[in-house]
Amino acid sequence: MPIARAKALKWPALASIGIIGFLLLLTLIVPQLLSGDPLALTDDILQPPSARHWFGTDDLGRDVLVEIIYGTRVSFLIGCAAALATAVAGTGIGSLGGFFGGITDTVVTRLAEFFQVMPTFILAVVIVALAGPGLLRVAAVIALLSWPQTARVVRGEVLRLSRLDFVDALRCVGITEWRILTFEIIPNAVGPVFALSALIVGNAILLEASLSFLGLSDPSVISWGRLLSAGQRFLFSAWWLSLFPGLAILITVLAFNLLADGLRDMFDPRHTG
Amino acid sequence: MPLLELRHLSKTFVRRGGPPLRAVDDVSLTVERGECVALVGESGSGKSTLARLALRLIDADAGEVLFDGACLHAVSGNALRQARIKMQPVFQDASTAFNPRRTVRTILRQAAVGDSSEAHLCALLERVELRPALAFLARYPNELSGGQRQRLSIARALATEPSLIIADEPLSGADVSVRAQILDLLADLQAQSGVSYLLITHDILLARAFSHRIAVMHQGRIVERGDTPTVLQAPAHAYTCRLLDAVQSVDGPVGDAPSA
Amino acid sequence: MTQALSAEPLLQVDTLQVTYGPRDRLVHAVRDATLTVQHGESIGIAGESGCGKSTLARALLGLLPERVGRIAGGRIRIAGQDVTGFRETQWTGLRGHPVAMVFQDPLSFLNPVVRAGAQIAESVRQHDPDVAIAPRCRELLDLVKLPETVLRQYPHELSGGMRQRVMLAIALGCRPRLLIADEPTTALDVTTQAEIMALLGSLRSQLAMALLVVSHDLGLLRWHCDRLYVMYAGRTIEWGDTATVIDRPAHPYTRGLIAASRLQRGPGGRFGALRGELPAHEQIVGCPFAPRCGEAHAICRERMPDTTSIAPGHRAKCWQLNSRDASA
Repeated sequence: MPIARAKALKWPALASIGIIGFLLLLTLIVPQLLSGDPLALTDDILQPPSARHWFGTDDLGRDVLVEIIYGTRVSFLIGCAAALATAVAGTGIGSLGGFFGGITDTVVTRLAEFFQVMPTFILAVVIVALAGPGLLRVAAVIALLSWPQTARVVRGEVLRLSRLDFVDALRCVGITEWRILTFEIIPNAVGPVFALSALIVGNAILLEASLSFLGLSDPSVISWGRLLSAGQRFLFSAWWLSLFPGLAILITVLAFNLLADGLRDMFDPRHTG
Repeated sequence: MPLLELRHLSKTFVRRGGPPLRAVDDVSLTVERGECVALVGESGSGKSTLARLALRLIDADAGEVLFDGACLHAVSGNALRQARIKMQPVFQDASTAFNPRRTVRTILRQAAVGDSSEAHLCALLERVELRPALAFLARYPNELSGGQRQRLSIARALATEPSLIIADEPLSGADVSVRAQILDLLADLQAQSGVSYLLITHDILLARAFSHRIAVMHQGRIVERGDTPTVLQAPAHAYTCRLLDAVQSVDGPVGDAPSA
Repeated sequence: MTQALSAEPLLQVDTLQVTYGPRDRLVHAVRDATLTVQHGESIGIAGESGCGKSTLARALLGLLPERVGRIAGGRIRIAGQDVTGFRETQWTGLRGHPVAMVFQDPLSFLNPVVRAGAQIAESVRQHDPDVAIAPRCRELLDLVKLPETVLRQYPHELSGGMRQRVMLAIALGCRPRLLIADEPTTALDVTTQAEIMALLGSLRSQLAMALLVVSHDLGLLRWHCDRLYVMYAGRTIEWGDTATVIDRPAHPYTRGLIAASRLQRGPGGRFGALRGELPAHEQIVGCPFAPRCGEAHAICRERMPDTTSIAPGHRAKCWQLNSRDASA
């Protein structure tokens, strides 16, 4: 049934799928194609974009395009890890609250509120400053702070679905509460989670970029934020060092936001095909 | 021993920003084997709440439910599921009565106790006249018409071979001509298998057509009860009279003509 | 009733066709509807879901969904004026006066954030600009038998019956000559239904207003309508005086529908006389009821029946009538 609703996707969503697919392909294939160590320091220092180096080179002679492609991998990794963790945590916790109600629901709601009011960026900075940099650490911070939004949405859906007659009908034929929640209700409730997850990927990429821009990320890992940070010194003399990483972030995050819109349209029961 | 016995059931709902709502107030009711009892009332009378109390889908504040001799309140969990399996609901709104992502086959298989073979599922569909059965098994509930969904609801209820079916407005949501067909179906089922019905409805004509005994519910209490023909011809309580007066049937008012 | 039957009917619909959807996936909601409403008359349109009666009611006031629904053929005349090709701007001059409409679910048709009094006042301002608004609102509330306190209340604070009365007040504020009611009581309790229909009846005689009630409930129509039209698969298939149509129905569908509405066991011990349901994709050729009809002959499947006159004012579209009834 969701496949039929895929026909409802309009061109921005399709374009975003194209862009994301292309980037994914890049990260997987290109590193295999390039021979030698593409990140080797060369003598072509601070070269503007040319036929040989499409995006120019940085102050150590490395090809900017290659650096961006490596950075894509980092962005995707952190984005997907954060989105997955958020989806699992949010769905699990939210559905428990929505289905069982009572004390469980109160605990879930208060917990969600608590985490939701914490300022994401500041907390991320603090954790990274204390515990040291690390990609998965950053992903964990994002999940920790984003799960309430997913949980709220899932809780609402589960609450609505739990009141429908079919749930009572299932109880009457002897199906246990846990089976009803896991196999009958949650599959119907997760539609909105896909759209939220796409948004979270975008947020994660932005957060990671901000952290590495401030120098709070692993120095040995190339990421877009780090490229921006390095390019700061040469903002006016070597503009290509800032422009292309910045564009990469912009296009990727925009693509995920458009994808989120498209997924929302696809799963929204009010939008008919 | 009656098949279903409701003893002094009460249920009060807490409302935010208002007084608590006494949905069911000290209601007692029995259903014998092989009979059909109609519980008649308008919206807000508490009849749907009473149905859910009987099925122990919600817990009563006071009172007991005895089904086939077993007290449903004394058990919980697996024991409750076993005790109640022979009492099945048919819900009013056939559009919310099914998980939209499940095919008819899965829906029936979940309900079929013991025998979940393809042949048995087809037999169930045949009993409610959804033919060709094999074609229907593969469909989704929202692909069916209102009348077909209602039949599916009945088929699911039959899957556990119940001795009592609690039907909440089983004919609403179906067209006029289909309603009569479904009523025929319910009558046939009773004739074939002796299943009892607790029929919950606002439609006096339905109660007149199909029930042996009738109980009239108003604001959480049963205000009048008795044999259906007796109550309808000579209603005693004022509310029953009002209900009968309001009925507009094709042949003529069941009571006197209403005024504005 | 002050106005006798004048030469010009208040509403005249001739062989109307209404379609929905894009041209490659056309749905014929109304295929052939003909009806007449004289001044002061009360008319009922009976039928089940899918018969096109609600679409017909909406078409009469140009309320078909934009770009999706359109009148594909036939003609509608209101008070002698041909309104079939009217554009939205032209319709606004007709809606309310001379034709007003009330709908099934007042909760969706009343603005939830505006008080009832303000909504009634809006209608008065629109159609009766010269009159003093507050007294006129109180007068309207009086007509629909609601207390003045309702003026200050919001729709969600009112019961279903009261909301329907507010909608009636809004409609009456336009001083309509014809009130169309689309399933006016379906969403209401049994006792409230009776009250609302009785109210409509008394308003009709008080205001010399014509009434067109669309409903699936034959019992309701039997007691409140002078004449009855029965629709099936987008066509008016039988019409005449209500009492005649109900007591001596000519069309097999009408007979089956009446029997089914009774919920009484027929001679065979069965409740239902009609088999099957309206097929989703109805056959285009011949009588649409033929697949379900117990009396269908070959000609029924080949050609749509012509209109047969059974008695003065009583007509039906069925090939089998000539062999059964002595008709003019």
